[in-house]
Parts: sequence; C-alpha cells; structure tokens
Amino acid sequence: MRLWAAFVLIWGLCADRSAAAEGAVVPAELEVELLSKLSLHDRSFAARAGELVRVVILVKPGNTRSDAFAAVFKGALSELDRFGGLPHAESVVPYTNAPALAKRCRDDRVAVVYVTPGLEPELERIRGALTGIDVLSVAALPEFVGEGVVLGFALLSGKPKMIIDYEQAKQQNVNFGADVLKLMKVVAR
Amino acid sequence: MTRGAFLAHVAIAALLLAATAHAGDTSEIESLLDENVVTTASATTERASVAPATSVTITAEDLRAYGVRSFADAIQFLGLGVVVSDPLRTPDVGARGVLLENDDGKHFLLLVNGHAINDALYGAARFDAGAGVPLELVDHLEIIVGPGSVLYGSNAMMGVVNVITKRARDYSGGHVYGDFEPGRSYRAGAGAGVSFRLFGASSELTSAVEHYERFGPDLDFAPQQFVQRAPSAFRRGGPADGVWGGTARDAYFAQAESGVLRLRSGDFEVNLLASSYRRGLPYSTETTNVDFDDADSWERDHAVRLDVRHEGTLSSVVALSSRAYADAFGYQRRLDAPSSLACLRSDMTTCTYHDVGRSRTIGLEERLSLNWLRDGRLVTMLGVDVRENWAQAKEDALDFDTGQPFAPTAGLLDAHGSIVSPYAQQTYHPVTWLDVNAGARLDVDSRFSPVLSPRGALALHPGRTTTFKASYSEAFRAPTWSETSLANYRIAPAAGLRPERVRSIEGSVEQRFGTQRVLAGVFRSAWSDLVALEPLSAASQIELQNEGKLPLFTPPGIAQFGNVGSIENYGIDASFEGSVAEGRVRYGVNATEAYTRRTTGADRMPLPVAPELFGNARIAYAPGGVLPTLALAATYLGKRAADRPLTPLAAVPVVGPLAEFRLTITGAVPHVPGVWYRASAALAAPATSAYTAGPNLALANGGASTNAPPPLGFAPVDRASAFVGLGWDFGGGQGK
Repeated sequence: MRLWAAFVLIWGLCADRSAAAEGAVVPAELEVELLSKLSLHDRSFAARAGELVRVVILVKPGNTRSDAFAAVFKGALSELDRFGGLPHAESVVPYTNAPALAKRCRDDRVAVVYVTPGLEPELERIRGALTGIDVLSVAALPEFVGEGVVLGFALLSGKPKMIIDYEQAKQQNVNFGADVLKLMKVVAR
Repeated sequence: MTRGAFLAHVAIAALLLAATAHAGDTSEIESLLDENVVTTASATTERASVAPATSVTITAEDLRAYGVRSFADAIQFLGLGVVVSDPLRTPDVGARGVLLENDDGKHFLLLVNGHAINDALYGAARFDAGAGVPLELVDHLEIIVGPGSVLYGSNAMMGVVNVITKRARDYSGGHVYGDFEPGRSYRAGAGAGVSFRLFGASSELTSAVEHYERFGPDLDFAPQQFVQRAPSAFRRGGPADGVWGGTARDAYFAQAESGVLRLRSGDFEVNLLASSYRRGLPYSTETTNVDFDDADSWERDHAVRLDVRHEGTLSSVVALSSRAYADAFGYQRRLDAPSSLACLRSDMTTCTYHDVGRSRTIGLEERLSLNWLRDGRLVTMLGVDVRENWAQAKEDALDFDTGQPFAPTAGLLDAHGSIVSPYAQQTYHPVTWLDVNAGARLDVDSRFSPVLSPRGALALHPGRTTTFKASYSEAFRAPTWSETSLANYRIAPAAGLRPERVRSIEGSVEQRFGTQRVLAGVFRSAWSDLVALEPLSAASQIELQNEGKLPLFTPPGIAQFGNVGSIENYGIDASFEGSVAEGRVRYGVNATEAYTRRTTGADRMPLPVAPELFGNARIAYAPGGVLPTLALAATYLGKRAADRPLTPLAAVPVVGPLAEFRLTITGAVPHVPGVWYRASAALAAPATSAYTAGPNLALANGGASTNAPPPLGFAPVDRASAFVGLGWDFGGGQGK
C-alpha cells in the first residue's frame, strides 16, 4: 500500500505540470538533418532563406515541456554546420499571439518556424497567421500536422516518417518536388 | 568453402552491392528515413547508430511481407546475431552461439511496450504463439543483442526483445484477419484503433485479440524397439510390442489466445495484456517421459499483466517517469507416462503428474532524467524499481485410470520475495563524433546476494555515415523459484543457488552507403554459475527426504538444480541490408559465427543444439499499386551437437546443417478497399532436428544400465508447409 501511495503522490505532484503525451518522437538531430536535406528539394527555399536560414523555435511561455523541446532542437541545430547548404541562425521565441508571429516571420525573413508542444490551442491561429507567408512550419509532434503545421516527423515501425499537410504547404509557398513528396505521408485537415 | 571464406564472401558481396547501388537525388533523405530509431537499449529515444548495444529493428511491414507468424519466426528469418531452434515444444532462442536447450526463453528478456513478460515463477518467456501479443498489432520488434541487465535486471543475458505495438494513427479503424495452414493451424484476430479527447487531453486507444490453434502436422518418429526394462506399451491403448515411436497424430497441438489493450491519454499510458497458451508434449525428451502421442498430456500458461505509467516534464532539465505494474501468471502441466518409466507402480498402467504453479508480482518504478545542458547532450538517468513477488506451486501424482492420488501432494511452494533495484545511466555527447554511455544497476533480491550489472559504451562517428562502437556489459539471471525451492517427484530443492552471470565485450563498425548499410562486429562473452539440472546422489536424496524437503516416495532419476557450468564464447557478426529502386527492392543478409564451449566439471564441450554458424537472407520486391509484394527469406543453422548421446556412454552426435526457405506473396485485393491477402510456402531440410526423441531410461532406473536400449531417434522437422491469409482494414484505412 505504501508503494501505491507513493506512486499516487508522485503523480499528483507531476500532473499539473505536463502537457499532451507525445510518446517516442524522432530524435531532434535526425529531424534537423532531414530538414536540412529536404530544404534542397523545396523550390522556394533559396528565395525564402536568402543568404542565412533563420529558424524560429516557438515556445509556449511557462510551459516546461515546450522549453525542453526547444532546447533540444536548438542544440541539434547548433551541431549542424549548414542548413540546406546555407549558414543558419536560430532563436527561441515565446509565442504571444498569431499576428506578432506573422509580423516576425515577414520582418525577419524567417525560413523555418518550429512549433513546440504546449501550443496545441494556438495551432489554428498559427495556421491562419502564416497562411500567405513564405515560411515552412515544422511540428515537434506529428499530431500537429493536419491541425495547422505544414511538416512533421513520426516514428513508424522504428523509422522516421515525414508527414505533410500539402494544402497548407501550398498556402505557405512550400514547394517540394514530387521526388520527395512521394516519400511523405500526406494528411488532410 | 570454410566459414571464414563464407563470411568474407558475404562482406565482399555487400560492399559491391553497396558500391553499385543507385544514388538518386533523394538518396540522402531515403538513407535518413531508413535509419532505425530505438528506445530499448538506453530507455530513451535515440538513433540505433548511437545506442550502446547492437540492435535490430524488425518492422510490421517485414513481418507481413516475409510471412512471419511468430516472434520466433521473426528472429529466425530477420534477426542478426540471434537464432531459434525448435524442439516442437516452445522454441529455444539463443544469441551469438549461446543457445540452451529446453530454456523456455529464460535467458532472453521479452518486453511488450516495455513491460517484462518473463514470469516470476519459472522466468520463462514464449516466443511462439504463446507470446501473448496479436501479431497484427505489432508495430516493430527491437532486439538488443547482448547483456541488458543494466536497465532491465534479471533474464537479459542474451539480449532483450521489446515488442512495440502500433499507435492509433497507424492502426485507426477496425481490423479483422485470419490465416489457415492446411493440416497444421489457423489464426484469427480482430483489433481497433481510435483517437479521441478525454478530459481535454489528446488520447488514443488500440486493442486487439487473437486466437491461434495448431492441430498438426503429423510427426513421424523413427520406431525404437525395446526388449527389457521398458514398458510393453509406450502409448495408452497401443500395441504391447515394446516399440516407442511411429506417427504422432494427436500430441502436437496448441491453442493460444491473446489480447492487448493500450490506452494513452495525456501523459498517462495503460497497457493491459492477457494471454492463455495450451500446448501438447509430442515426445519424450532427456528430462521428460511422456506417453507417446498422448493428447491428454499438456502444458498451459495463462497471464494477465497491467502496466500504468506517467511521463512528467518538471522543467527543461528534469523529467520524471513513473510506472506501476502488476502481473498474475499461472501454469499447469499434466503429464501421463507409463508407470514403469515414471512411477514404478505395478498396480497401475499410467501415472499422471499434475503440476500447478502461479506467481503474482506488483512493482513500482521511478525514473528521473536530468538533462543538465538542456539540449540532450549530457543526461543523467536515476531510477529505482521495487517489486514484490509471490509464488505458489504444487504437484499431484495420480493414477490415470482412477484419477485418485497414489502419493501425497508434493512440491508445495508458498513463497514471497522482494527486489529493490536502483540504477543509474549517464549519457554524454560532448562533440558530434562521440557518444558515451555508462551505467549500472544493483539488484538487491531478498533471496540472493546483491548483483551489480554495469555497462559502458562508446560510439565514434568519424563521418556522418560511419560508426565505430565498443562496449562492455554484464548481466545476470536470478534463479527462479522453480529452481531454488520446488520439491516434487522429479526435482529436489536447491537452496544456495547463485545467480548466473555473463560478462561481454564487443566492438562493431557500421558503414552506410546511401540506402545500404554494412555492419561487422566481434564479441566475446564469459558465462559463470550456469544453473542446470544434475542427477541427485542417493545420499543427498535420503538426506533431503529425512529433512522433509523431498517426498518419501520419488520415482527414479530425481534431479537437482546447481551452479554447474560456465561458458566461453567469442565470434563475429556481419550484416548487410539495403534497398534499391526507390525502396521497391529491399534485401538483407545476416551471419554469425561463434566459437562456444561449455565447461561442466572436467568436461569442456560445444553447447548442445547451438549452431556455431548461422544466419539468414531475404529479398522483397514491392512494385506498388495493386501488384503484389514478393518476398523470399531463408535461414541457415550450421552443424551442431545433439542434445544427448543416442545410446548411453556414446559420444554426442553432431547433426548437419538445417536450412529453410520461405516464399511469401502479399498484396491488396483489387477493387475491394481495405482487403489484403497473404500466401506463403516454406521448405526445410533435412527431415530431423538436433533434438533427440525417445524415452529416457536414465530417468527410469537412475542411470543403471545392464541391457543396451535401442538408439534414440531425432525429433522431426516440419519440412513443407504453406498458409493463406486474408485481412480487412476498415473505418480508418491505415491498417498497414
């Protein structure tokens, strides 16, 4: 009984600090490598990035899981010499509202927005704000694709699988060639 | 061709194929998408190339394409460094040249979604239809080859097999399927997956149930003509001609039911597993005398397992994983045997032994992860696993004809034990070309002295596609309740048993060329305190009977478990796998050669039944669209020693290689959405295995021999089989 009591107590302590379970996710360094290689197959990438690939890692203020995902993704990017053949710069940006995100993407010529857990309630607004802006949004969790984020990665049978919301990709001028699209699972909203 | 030359040819062929593989524009992406991501080796999600052990991933697509119907099949046809030998009871699973006959999976740890399946009473895990997992629900198998006690404790001596079931997004809707193997078996199952929101949390439920039934084939055993000191009839109602053997039509049967339910909601996950497995005992072995072709002799496992876990992120540095689990396991065995072999009673024809055992386990595991640099490069894992076990067992000796006991109930066991297992693991990724993993686990078992299981591993990446690995690891297996405490009509209790230990060192190099991968590795392991049955001396038997630890009546041939052996083992692994034509053609070759010697007392000899050279090869072509996928797989077991001499005091014979080929065709039924089919045919040669079959007179007369019995025969191999299957995925359309 003491075992169970301790278990329940620990759960109680943790329960209010957590967000949606993601299970096993694709390791960040593998996501980053895939993104870098994929960029070479995005016909809009060169024009979008210019001379420097700017990556915004979007976090939910006060959300520990969001912070954790952001730190790991940023660390993985830091080990990448070049992103799609270009130098890159990444920044962790607290999400305030969708218009501010859109403004930042436009003003700073952001090429990639990485959406971390904790932002689930904002996905629809993020989708709306980024529609019409030339930017690739990438999901930290595969469930986000189809809820407003263009690209994500899932583990299927112990291997990474790319997932794309093709309609939203077109809305954000993400233009992958057919050769890589056939490697992706296309989902619809 | 020598074995070395064979492996060299495999390696050269792999390099040539790799060099000639088409490198398309997307080959680098395809290469990344083909990388295995594992979670078992270090209890965290990582690329297989950085995992601190050799790992093999077998996907659901592979299981379907290659006609796999059990985990043993998957290991045999698709695994690297692992091997299966089928005694026609439950398969023996080995690794890297170490395979122990009649092992019941005790030296491999089987996990389902991270939950240990090996039971507390016998330590057994089934890798056939009795594994307890509907195969169509399996997303993939992760096989960690080599010691794995550092995170998982007992049983993980040869390795760890973790069965990961499908997520709802990959199993949405409903699914029904069945297959039929004429003259042999059928299987039917159903499942469903659904995603939903529960109390505002993203949630999903996947579940499946399956029934499997085997009713053949007929098995032919070479007749053995006995003249004296043997029953006149080895089969109830059979001719009193003193002949053991013939065709067994009734005893090779099995029924298995399994069900899995997996619920995820928010940060919680619940796994509920239930299974039942009843199987026949088709022939007498070195340790068991049973009526020939007796449908009334059987074993049965049943189990219910519950696992509830929670993942909490306390900060960007600290994460806490909590797990509570409970297992209930039951076992029964009914064994009918001629009285003159099994109980020496002149007033009955057949004596029946009925064993009943059960165990209960509850446990709690807490695991703290400290991500010091917040980016995953320096992570400390601290955990503690606390469990309580209860075990009960008994054995009744009955007159088959009256059903009445002819001796008191024996083997009464009612015991309790606790295990506290703190563990720690440190991972460090200081630079892009280096990964370090070090850890240790201390298992403090109330029945034994504490056991420390350390592991240290390095992975070097001189280039993005090259990995060198080196690791040292130790593992153990705690003697089971059945080995230490059971006292029945065949087994004497063995207080003072020590845990088995293995120490292993290994190194490997892996090179990727686009979508091709070549791996070569070397290993060396040393096993000590191996637990095995040995005959109990008359003096020890009397002593135990006087102390009340053994029944006063026991049939001849009573034995006792002891720490009686050690094993030395070294060898090489090689693997090549890849794909061409944009993944439409996939192939692979795995080979292992090992030198293994077991020392028992003054004897040093090869392990019975364990091949020193083994491997498999496969190729599949998936043209896509409505065209079917064709897949051919082959497995090879090199020559190996039989499990015992064919006649007393003779040398143990060496049996020749065994090869099996399997051709499978799978595809979608045209114009019928969601319906798929599978058909498979297999051929194996030769006709017999390395397991001897026939009554064991040593069990009947304590080893005394005045008249030479006829030579034993070998158990048969099912040489030709085929099955067809049909499935329907509906309401979700993502059943693959």
